[in-house]
Amino acid sequence: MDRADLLKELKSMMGEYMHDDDKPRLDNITDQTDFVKDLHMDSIDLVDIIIQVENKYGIEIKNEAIGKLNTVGACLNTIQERLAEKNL
Amino acid sequence: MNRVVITGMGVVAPNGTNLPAFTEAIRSGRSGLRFFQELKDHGLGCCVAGMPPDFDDSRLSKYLSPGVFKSLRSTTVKYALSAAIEAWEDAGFTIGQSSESDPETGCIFGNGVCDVDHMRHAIQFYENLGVQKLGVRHIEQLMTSAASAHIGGLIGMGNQVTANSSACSTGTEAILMAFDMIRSGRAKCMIAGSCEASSKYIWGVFDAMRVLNRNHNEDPEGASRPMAKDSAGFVPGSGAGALVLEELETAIRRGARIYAEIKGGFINSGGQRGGGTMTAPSPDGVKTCIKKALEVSCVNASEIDLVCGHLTGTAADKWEISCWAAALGRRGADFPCINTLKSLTGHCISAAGSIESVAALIQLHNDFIQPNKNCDQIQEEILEHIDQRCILCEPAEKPLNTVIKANFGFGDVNSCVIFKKITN
Repeated sequence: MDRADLLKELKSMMGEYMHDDDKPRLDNITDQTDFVKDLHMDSIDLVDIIIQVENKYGIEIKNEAIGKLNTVGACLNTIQERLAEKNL
Repeated sequence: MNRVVITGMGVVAPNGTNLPAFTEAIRSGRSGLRFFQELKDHGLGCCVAGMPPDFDDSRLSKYLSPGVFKSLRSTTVKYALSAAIEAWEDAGFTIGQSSESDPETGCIFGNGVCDVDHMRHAIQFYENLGVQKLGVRHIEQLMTSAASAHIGGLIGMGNQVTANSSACSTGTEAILMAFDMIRSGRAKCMIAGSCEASSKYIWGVFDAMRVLNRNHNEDPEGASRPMAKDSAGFVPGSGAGALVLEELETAIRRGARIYAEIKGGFINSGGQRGGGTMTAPSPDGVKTCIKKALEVSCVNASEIDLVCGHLTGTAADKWEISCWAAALGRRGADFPCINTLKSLTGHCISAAGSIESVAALIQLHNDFIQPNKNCDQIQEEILEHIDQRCILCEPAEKPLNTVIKANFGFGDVNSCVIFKKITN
């Protein structure tokens, strides 16, 4: 799946967990954007998003990996890796 | 020892989902009891209950993070948050302004069981769709401390944040536990309260015990009949009550409106001995609790203007009255006025103590006595102890200075608190 499409999907999911005041930050998102520090998200909500991603794409992201998904880039990389493994 | 006052209150009750509506309801004697077809469909004998009317949880979205609000299903937590937010703002505080926690502020907010309906939802999800799809926000709503944890985080409390549980005594007990925290100097401000979800599963358990009134499904507002000759069981209710307790000096310094002072109180158990069982209070335990509450408060029984009883509408009412008369040493026409909120709301179970304490404080602060509904014909055994004129069936304006409030719970546990108008 194209990284830009994946990011669009991710941003849509993230929006449901963000205060309206913080949502404009999604427009300036980069790979370095930190979910907690920059977007003011609760880390537990990120786990909820990961579960949604797993269910949607039929992949599994290991628990030890979830704890390292602090930035948008790290999250996209991991999802793309799991998708690639699935399609092998 | 510090003096402790009440500076804020909030309530979600079957006859009013905020302080002004609840005040109007108890002043006029308006019942919140209704017939629920759903209870009938589930085979309950008692199909009348007290459920907060038109409870709108959307306003909570203003205070909670989108992730928390989106996942919030627990009525227990919703009622508790709503009452606590109202109490906090009623006390003159604002929510969410500080990025740091306040080490002088805490919360004791109890309940009897976790939110059973949410537990059922989670179990069904777990079994039908698998544990991996459950999502992440269930434990925070199912743990016993769910309500206090949500309140503590919302306000940024840095002192003790916990939940107590003592069945129908829970709310009164929470107030006395928070009182002790401030009185002993361990905290300056505490939210105390309790909550009970509107759950047919919990109400059904009581129905199965044959302790609910099955005789008034056609007359819901007549179903809760404490002290009446034809009382035939209690009516289940739900909601939450919250009180802001504050050190007197702090309250004065910030110019807070003071509803009343907590003079003291007592918590005990009858030990399920001497007539006490898992479900029935020991008369000696109840009397000791009331007497000790007076003693530690340095309040003479003759000062009591109003007794806000537990009085549920079961066979225990007459025993409770005899205990009050004996403990206060006041009988016949010398007995103070006595009432029970349950005639208007039903028995809100673990929320009873806090909602009824809010009612007691409203009456004390505004100098009126809420009428006892449905008890025009009083049990003769009750009249052997106290005069009929002590049990008002119509609203009455009356100067009040001191109110005593007690609740008794399964496990033979008792709590009794004394509120007094503030004096210099």
